[in-house]
Amino acid sequence: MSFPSDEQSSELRDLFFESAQEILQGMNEAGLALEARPGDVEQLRHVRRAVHTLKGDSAACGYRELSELAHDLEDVLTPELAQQNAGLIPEVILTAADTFHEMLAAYRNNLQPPAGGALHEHIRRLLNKPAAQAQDVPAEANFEWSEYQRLMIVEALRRGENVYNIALQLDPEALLPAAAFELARKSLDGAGRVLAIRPEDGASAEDSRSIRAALSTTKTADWIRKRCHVPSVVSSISVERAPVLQSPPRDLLDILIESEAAALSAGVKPVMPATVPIEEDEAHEPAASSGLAHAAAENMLRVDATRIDTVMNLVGEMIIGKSMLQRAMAEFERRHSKDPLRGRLADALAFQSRVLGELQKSVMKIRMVPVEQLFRRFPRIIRDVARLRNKDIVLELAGENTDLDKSILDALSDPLAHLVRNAADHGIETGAEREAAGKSARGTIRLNAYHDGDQVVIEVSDDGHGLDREKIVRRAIERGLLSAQEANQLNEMESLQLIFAPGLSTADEVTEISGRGVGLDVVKSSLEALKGTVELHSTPGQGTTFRLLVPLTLASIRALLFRVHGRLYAVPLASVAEIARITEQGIHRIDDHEVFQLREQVLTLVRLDRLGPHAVGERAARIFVIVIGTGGRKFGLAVDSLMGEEELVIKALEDQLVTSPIVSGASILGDGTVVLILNVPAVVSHLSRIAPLGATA
Amino acid sequence: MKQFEALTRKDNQPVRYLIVDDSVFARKSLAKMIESFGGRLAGEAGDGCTAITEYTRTKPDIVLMDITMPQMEGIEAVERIVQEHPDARVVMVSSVGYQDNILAALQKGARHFVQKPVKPDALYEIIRYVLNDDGVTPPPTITVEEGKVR
Repeated sequence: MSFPSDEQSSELRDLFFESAQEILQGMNEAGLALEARPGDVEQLRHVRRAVHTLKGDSAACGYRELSELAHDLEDVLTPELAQQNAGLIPEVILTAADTFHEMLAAYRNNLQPPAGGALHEHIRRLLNKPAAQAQDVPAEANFEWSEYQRLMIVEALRRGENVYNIALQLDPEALLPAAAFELARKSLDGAGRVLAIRPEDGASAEDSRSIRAALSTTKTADWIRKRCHVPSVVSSISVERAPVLQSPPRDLLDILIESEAAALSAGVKPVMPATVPIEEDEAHEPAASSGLAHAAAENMLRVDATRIDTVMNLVGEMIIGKSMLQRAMAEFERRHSKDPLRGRLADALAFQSRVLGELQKSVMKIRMVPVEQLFRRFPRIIRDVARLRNKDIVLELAGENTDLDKSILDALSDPLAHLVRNAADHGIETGAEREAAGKSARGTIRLNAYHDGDQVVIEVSDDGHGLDREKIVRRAIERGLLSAQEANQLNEMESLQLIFAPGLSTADEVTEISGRGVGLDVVKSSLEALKGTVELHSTPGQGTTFRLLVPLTLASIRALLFRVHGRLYAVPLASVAEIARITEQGIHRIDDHEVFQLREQVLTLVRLDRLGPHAVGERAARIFVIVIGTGGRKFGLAVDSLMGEEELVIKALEDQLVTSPIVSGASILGDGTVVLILNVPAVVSHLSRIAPLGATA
Repeated sequence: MKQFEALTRKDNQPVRYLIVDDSVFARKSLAKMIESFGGRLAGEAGDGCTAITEYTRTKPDIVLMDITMPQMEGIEAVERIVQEHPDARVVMVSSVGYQDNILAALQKGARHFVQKPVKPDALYEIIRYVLNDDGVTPPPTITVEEGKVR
């Protein structure tokens, strides 16, 4: 017998955690489906299979508590019990998903997993419901054992014995409590091995009219109920499977031995109490028994993301190399225009460049995952909020197949969840309010994703009451974010943008769902960290839409290159609205900043060489202006010359090199020139401290 | 007297009782009760010693035994009977105030106890329980003859 090596077992565990996440996601979805269509046998079977898989996998990894809890849950997810408790089942499944999630998190951090009291309670309720005599046993019957008793129970469970917690209510009419206790105790002894009992003797039974016991037995719960329901002594009885107890701290060897034993027995189905009929179809579910093996057998590789990043970086270097070759080639053509070698070199270069392009796309594709992975989380969030707030909300999803870089997707998870929660909690009104406003009582939240050029757009919209612009502005003034005078200069869109300011929440009451001190400012900064932006549209009475725009990938970017004072800069092409030429005469001064007119719009003009309102001397008669639009604002960037657009491979700048917040990264061109990439949102926020942007004069 | 659904043995024969009490009145009233349960009186005893010999002679299914009797106390009788016949199903009958004696009898092997004055409903349930209670193996489903109410 040999233990798996550390590396092997840690790999196995990683695999387990990953597949467990998928299982939990599946449980969440099935739970919601069952809530919508109670009694859907197919969904129930799906959950049961999932739980069964989780049971086997967690046992194989030595996570006994999880495995046992999954086992108990599996026991109650029978079509029979589900039919009797159709209303309860979805809640049980969702609670289970949450409980398992917490346990997994604990295991991952090598912590003792939580006991999952709520789930135990559900399971107990499901098991006891058919047994009507348990009614007058207090539901919160808790079994608190001494350390020794716990040890006995843990040991018995570890040996695979069936342990039941039994609560006996002594008949209040029994005038001989000690004798009654004795009989009850005898009935327990006859039913199995008493691991723990309280009170321990009849003398103390005088004042406590109930007996708690933990019993290891081969009998079924039903049998115990009959046997221990002693006439004229026991008035009621409750029998439930013992929950997994936190065992006292054990030494490492114990744990290792136990893990191995669990692994060995993982394939073996423990004896089940006959109260729970074992389904025939158990045997027809080969996939259920070995989820890990199943996942490994698929034609899939699970690769550390950093390995892909390394490949991506190398591809980036090659693109720079290609650019170097092209420049050298251009030079060669100029010098040896008659050389026949020229054509062959050009062909080779074109070929290489095409393959390189394919290579880059392929590597990027590895990192791409559909946003569906992200969207799947939200039905559950919305359901929870809707329940808590007593609202009726339906979630519509669109564009789930839109691909997005995995790292961006991960980074979007929290901001998006925040927006969705907000929409459900604050955006959508209560049914009564909606009807009063002439809308249908059921609110709709819509998630949509689509590609827009090199960007991916994700929209969160609700058909709620919209944002109260007045209130936002008032709140912002109260918080000292701007003066009343400044507020007057804001247009509609700009005033809405204020809700992204730190510390500004318009929710009157801080609810336990969304009011966690994390505001929309965090959403905004998360998006900016992704070189993305967030836009906001709101119509009073009709709803609010947040548009998140993120680049397809963080690894490369299509950019417009330009020069200012001989230096080379770039802006992401996605943020360029248009390019204009204006004359110096067309530049006017309003207050302390320069503006120019572009058709009907008056835009602020930004000069990189002096991000500030200082007049300077001579300028070219006509200057190029790159009109940049971001987050609903537009401004013009004055540049000396335009250098064309290029695919830039972004090199992260080391922190100590970055002195300016308005630079988000750098790239190297084929000739070795360094290009700085402007961080457009940062430029905007820098500017907005100086002058309101896009203010109509 | 109220009639009960008849309790029977596993072989569907009427349950046979031995009633042990020093009070004739108590014996008569218990006998009436077991009759209403569909049972048969196999024997009677007024003291512990007679109880032992009657048990050996009649081999009853159930013994209803008073706790306090002359010559030999119920506890001792239970002990002797159970020693010789481990399968004996003895139900103690006692008035309040003899808790310690009951406890001792239960520890000596009595299967159950019933308080005086005996309520037929309680006794019926107890006997039904005790009949099915064979200690180790799961009890068979209770055999009650359908509709056979006497």
